[in-house]
Amino acid sequence: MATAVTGLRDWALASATRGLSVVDRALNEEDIRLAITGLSGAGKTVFLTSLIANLLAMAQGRATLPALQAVLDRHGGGRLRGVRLVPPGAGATPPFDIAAKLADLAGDSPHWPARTDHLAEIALELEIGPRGGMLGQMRGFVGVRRLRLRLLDYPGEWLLDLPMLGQGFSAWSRETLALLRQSPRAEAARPFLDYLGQIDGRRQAEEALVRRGHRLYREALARAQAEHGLRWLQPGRFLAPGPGVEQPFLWFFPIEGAGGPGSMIALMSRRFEAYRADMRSRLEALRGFDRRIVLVDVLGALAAGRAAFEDTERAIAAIGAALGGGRWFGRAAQVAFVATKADHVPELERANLRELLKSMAESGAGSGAGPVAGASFHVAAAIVSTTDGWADRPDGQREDVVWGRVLGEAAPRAYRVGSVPIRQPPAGFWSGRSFRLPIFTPPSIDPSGATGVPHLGLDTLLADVIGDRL
Amino acid sequence: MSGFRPGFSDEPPPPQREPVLEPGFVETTTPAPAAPDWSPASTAPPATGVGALGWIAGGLCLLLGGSLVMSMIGFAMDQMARSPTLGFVTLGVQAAAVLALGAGAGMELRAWRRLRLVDGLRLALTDPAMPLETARAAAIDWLDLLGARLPEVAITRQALLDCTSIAELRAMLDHRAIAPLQEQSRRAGERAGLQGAALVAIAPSPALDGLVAGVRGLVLLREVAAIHGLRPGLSVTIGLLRRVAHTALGVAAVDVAAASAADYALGAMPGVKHIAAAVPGAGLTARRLYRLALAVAEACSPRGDFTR
Ligand SMILES: Nc1nc2c(ncn2[C@@H]2O[C@H](COP(=O)(O)OP(=O)(O)OP(=O)(O)O)[C@@H](O)[C@H]2O)c(=O)[nH]1
Ligand SMILES: [Mg+2]
Repeated sequence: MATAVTGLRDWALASATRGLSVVDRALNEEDIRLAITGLSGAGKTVFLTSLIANLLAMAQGRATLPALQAVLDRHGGGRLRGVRLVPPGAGATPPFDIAAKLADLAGDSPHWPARTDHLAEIALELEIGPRGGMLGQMRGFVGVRRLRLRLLDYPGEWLLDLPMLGQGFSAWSRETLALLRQSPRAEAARPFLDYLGQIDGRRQAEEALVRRGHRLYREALARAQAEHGLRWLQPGRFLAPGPGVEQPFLWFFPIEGAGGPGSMIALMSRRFEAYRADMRSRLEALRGFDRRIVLVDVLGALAAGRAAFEDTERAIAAIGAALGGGRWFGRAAQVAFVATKADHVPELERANLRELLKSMAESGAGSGAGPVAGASFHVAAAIVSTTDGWADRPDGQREDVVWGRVLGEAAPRAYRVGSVPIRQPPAGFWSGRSFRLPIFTPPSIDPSGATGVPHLGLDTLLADVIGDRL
Repeated sequence: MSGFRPGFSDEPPPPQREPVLEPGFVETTTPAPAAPDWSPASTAPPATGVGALGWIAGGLCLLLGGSLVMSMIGFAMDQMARSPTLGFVTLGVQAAAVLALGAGAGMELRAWRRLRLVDGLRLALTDPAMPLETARAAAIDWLDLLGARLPEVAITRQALLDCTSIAELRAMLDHRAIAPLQEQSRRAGERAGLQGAALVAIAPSPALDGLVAGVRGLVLLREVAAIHGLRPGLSVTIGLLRRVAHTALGVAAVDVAAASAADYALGAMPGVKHIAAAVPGAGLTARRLYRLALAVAEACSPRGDFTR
């Protein structure tokens, strides 16, 4: 009898728990999906790290994100009950290793996290108390809301592939090669272009020759990116291959002409088709991420010279068009463009940076993409590594500068970029030279994470992007 | 200061810089400014100091305690004056009383220390800057405090010694120690719920419901504290009550599913079901006691509300 009762009780408890936790999840759990994208080096990883560190510190009672706090406090104080990291479930997306990133930044010798060449996901759970007022209090009886902020670090290079979806192999090859033969791409791609002259794509496919061409093309892309700051480079997976071993369908390169069955061209156009299919599945990762942040290293592009700037402009416009278009679950996706690394310029120039970003995204030299609907524009520095100030030059002129310690040096130096134009600069602006932004040492950060990370503008950005759901 | 140079057009123009972007370092003798402090303000409400009531209570205690001591001394001296034998007997009695008080206070202190040990471990487990060995030592200390209340302590201890990171330590502690204790507490809560419901059913007046729940709740709190290896003295009980008040809200909300499941399960039990149907307050009392058990377990365990 007793065991029957306990058995009945256990069964009732188990099934009730199961049923009620389903109800609880339905009532109290919500998802916000926020994709962070941008071309390589735009600062995605650093941005995510700072965002998470500051949210965690905010939950521990520090005003690290004042504007976001103000949004929360609009409906009553102390509503953020806690923030925690959600352990990865059974998904296939590689997790974003926040602990390792923080260890890089907060260690004894602070340094920037390494490059990432694939997407990564992480989720935070924000426990948010009820709003004030009668309705809010009544909502409180149902439980504390658990807002899951799912964050995705998505390589912007993959979005540059989007125009390829509408092209066949020969059309793509023609367009790509025409661009590749222009300076400064031609200099970067010299060995590849020379190789193209030595082979005939209509002949029998020789795997070794295809692989060599592929390798040379890939090297050309990497050189164009690293040495000339170019950004409009396809296919994106050649630069950001993603995790795991390489699939054979990656092994192609642009080549003109038409070939019969069994020819080199036929093989590569089959691979091209497979690449496009893979690309579609890769874009699937973005499904449901209806809020997107596009990070742009505007300053880096500006400093790298005219070709790099225009290339970035084109790439940004393409990314904006890819993200802004389409409706997800009946709602237009929101896109926020952010000019990153704003700590490289003094305060006066930061507003210009935003204006410049806006005109970059809206014009998109030659890409034909119109302005992105519903886009907003911001400036931010995820981790402020400099101090605003001024410096007197030997000729007595005073300049607005930022003071920062270059990585590996002992003393801070005064750095100035010059005036940031507010829209596409005229031809006379370009000096014909290409500069690189210095890499400043990140500030030392409290390793316990209690005080967050110094940033600029992350809070207003977040308030704008997710504020409506708090 | 760089681009903005106002002036009249009939005066020689000031030297113009090219509108060319030439980023670079500026040669200067200007000293670098101090880096601004990044220390975001705390958003916690300011701590309230000792208020008027605190001072009044302190004063009253001093007054009572002081006059008690004075009257004890006076009484002993009186007796001494009457007859030395009587005086020494009085002194002896008084000394025994003081000793007993001292022993009690000592026990209270030790019990309080145990609670602090749990707090210390909780801190060690959440502070990312804490070295692994320190956290491990705190965890082992806590395990020793539990003693035989846990099954297979030796395996648990070895498992903790084998952990290679704080995250692992936390998870292992949860897995091998905290979860079983939580389960025991849950069962204590169920038992208390059942008894509470029965008591409410036989209480002569509905006005006594609250009293029944309160008394059974206090007993439950001490039970759960004992499950967690704490000695539920006066100070520990009060300390726990405060913590429970602090966490109860969170527990109530977070475990809405679990607690409602308990309602359901308690309701499904033949005893409670019938009592609850007949006596309106009984089900509520049972539910409250069950939730209290969960809240106290959370307050007593070193993972606290970080368990989730
Ligand atoms: N001063 C400063 N430098 C920054 C900031 N954000 C990024 N950087 C610099 O930009 C570099 C690249 O940042 P990442 O976050 O790794 O860029 P990413 O977009 O993740 O790049 P990939 O992983 O290569 O796609 C860093 O190593 C820093 O040197 C910032 O807020 N301030
Ligand atoms: Mg990265």
